Amino acid sequence: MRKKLLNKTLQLYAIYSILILLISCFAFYFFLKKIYVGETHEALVLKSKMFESTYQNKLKIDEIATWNKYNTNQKIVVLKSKHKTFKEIEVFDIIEKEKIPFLEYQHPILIENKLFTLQTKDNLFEKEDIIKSILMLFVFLLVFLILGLFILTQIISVKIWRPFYQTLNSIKSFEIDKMTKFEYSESKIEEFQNLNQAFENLINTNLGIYQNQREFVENAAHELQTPLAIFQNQLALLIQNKDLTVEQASIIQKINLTVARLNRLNKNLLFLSKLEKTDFEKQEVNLSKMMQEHTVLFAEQFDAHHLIIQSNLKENVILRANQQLLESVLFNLLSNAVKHNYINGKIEIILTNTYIKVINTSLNQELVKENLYVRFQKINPSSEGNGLGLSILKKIVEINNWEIVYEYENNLHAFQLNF
Amino acid sequence: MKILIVEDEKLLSRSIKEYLESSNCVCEIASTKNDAFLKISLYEYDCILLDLSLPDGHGFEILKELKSKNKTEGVIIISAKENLETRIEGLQLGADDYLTKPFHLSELLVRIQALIRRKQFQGQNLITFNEISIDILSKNVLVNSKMVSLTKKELELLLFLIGNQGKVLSKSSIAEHLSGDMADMFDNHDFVYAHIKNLKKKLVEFGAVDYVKSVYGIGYKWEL
Repeated sequence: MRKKLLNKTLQLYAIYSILILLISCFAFYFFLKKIYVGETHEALVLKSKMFESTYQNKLKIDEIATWNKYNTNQKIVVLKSKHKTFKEIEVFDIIEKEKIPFLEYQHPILIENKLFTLQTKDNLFEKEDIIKSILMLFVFLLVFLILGLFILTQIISVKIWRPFYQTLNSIKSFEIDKMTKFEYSESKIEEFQNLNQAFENLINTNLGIYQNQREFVENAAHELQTPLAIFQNQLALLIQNKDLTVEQASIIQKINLTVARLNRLNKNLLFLSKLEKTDFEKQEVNLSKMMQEHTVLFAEQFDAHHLIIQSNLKENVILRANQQLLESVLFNLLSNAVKHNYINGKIEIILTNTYIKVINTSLNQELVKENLYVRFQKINPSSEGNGLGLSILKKIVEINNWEIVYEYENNLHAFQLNF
Repeated sequence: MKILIVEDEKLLSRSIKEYLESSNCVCEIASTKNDAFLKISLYEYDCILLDLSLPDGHGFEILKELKSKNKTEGVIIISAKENLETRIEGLQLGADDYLTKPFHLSELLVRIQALIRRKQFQGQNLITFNEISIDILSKNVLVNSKMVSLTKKELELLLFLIGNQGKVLSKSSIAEHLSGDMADMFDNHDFVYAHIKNLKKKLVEFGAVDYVKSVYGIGYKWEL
């Protein structure tokens, strides 16, 4: 799965924050401990100095037991060492019923000229407690930090990235053949403005090229009309010649057929380029009637190929569409069914409220669906088609938001047009 | 019939001239708009064939000129542009017919004949060829004064053949005349043969001479 750019940043931020917090958590602990222990040291030294200055000269050896009885944190014991030492010890606390860490300062003192050791102690913090507190604090910090980051990211994603998504949407909805302009709102962010301008340039350049290309096809086809007319007319004059031999006539007939084919190709090219640029007016069309008229028009072709026609037409199917385009659809469906058929073949025509289906017998194998509507992709190289009929059909289907489906079953080819 | 061909493509206008003149028409060629203006102001024509894109102007200007001078010439637009808007505009400006290039000369000839019939012989809609006579309005065909019942297609075929009498007509031109745009989508013109066969049979049955000749594999010819 692909991640959003912002989530990726968020993830990195989160990892970094956790890492830093974790490190600072330990650092904080040791730092705190160091300060606390240091303070305790100082406090103990201060306390023992206070003892020295206040009580040392007054206290008698006999009173030591009494002193010890009333001072839990400062006791006088027999001399342990002539050096001053600090020691960490654990003392069982009766109230809390657990061992508590203490720091003890042993310090030799002189009472009535006899050396004793003064043990001054003070409790240190409990490790677990402090770790717990620090952890709590840091988890709290972490949660707020990540939550904050997340919310900020969301706001950024909505606000700052809005121009980006707008641009993205306009690119998505852009269709070169609809000749729509690329529209964007001005952005104050330099990167987005650059992006938009780059897209605008790219699209305008391509639109220009596309426009040229389309006009070229249209102009080329138009320009061909006159030479074709001359070609055809000269042939018509040539066949008036009374001295034509049979061989010459046969050659002329072949040229005639070729001119007819050129005419057909040119007409289809013109129609295709017209389809791409014209807005066709729609009206209510009685499709049932139109289909019947077309079957009558095609009667001669059906007879010429000795085709058996089965038609199952629902009456008064009304469709909102352009008359000319709809006629072209029916024409293409039927003419394909005739062209790719064989002598004594069959055509079945079905019309319902939601679709037209034309099924025909054919010697052709199943057609490759991917190439079906590609221009000049001739299904059968030897056929009369010029490879534009299905492209025209597809284009009209697209213009009307219909759907065309090809099926092959039991050696039957079927084209179904769903409105 | 006197015809003015306004067309800048010389080969095209000459081929039209040649075909029409061998069918009892007199043709003149104007290859520019100004040339056409001059000829229109000097002579009367039965019909003007008008190309729309001329080197020094648009064919519509000629239509407007004709209208402003109250000229009654029939005009057939011959244009490479096939679109409904131009066609409608042309017809609104006073043109009588519209043919898209490339067209068959035989088709052009029968269109001119039909136009002139409409313009000149009002109420006189009888076409006769020896023993055959056709009433265009009632669509009745008489052979030796006996009524022959022809289908719509057969009647169209008969008019097309007689209109182009003496000319070899290619199968594709007949097919196109009979079924319009549809025919040129197919190479199979067998149905032309079927119609010719039926028409010949019906006419001969009523005692007409068989005027339809098959010319090699190319097409057919109506000939005395």
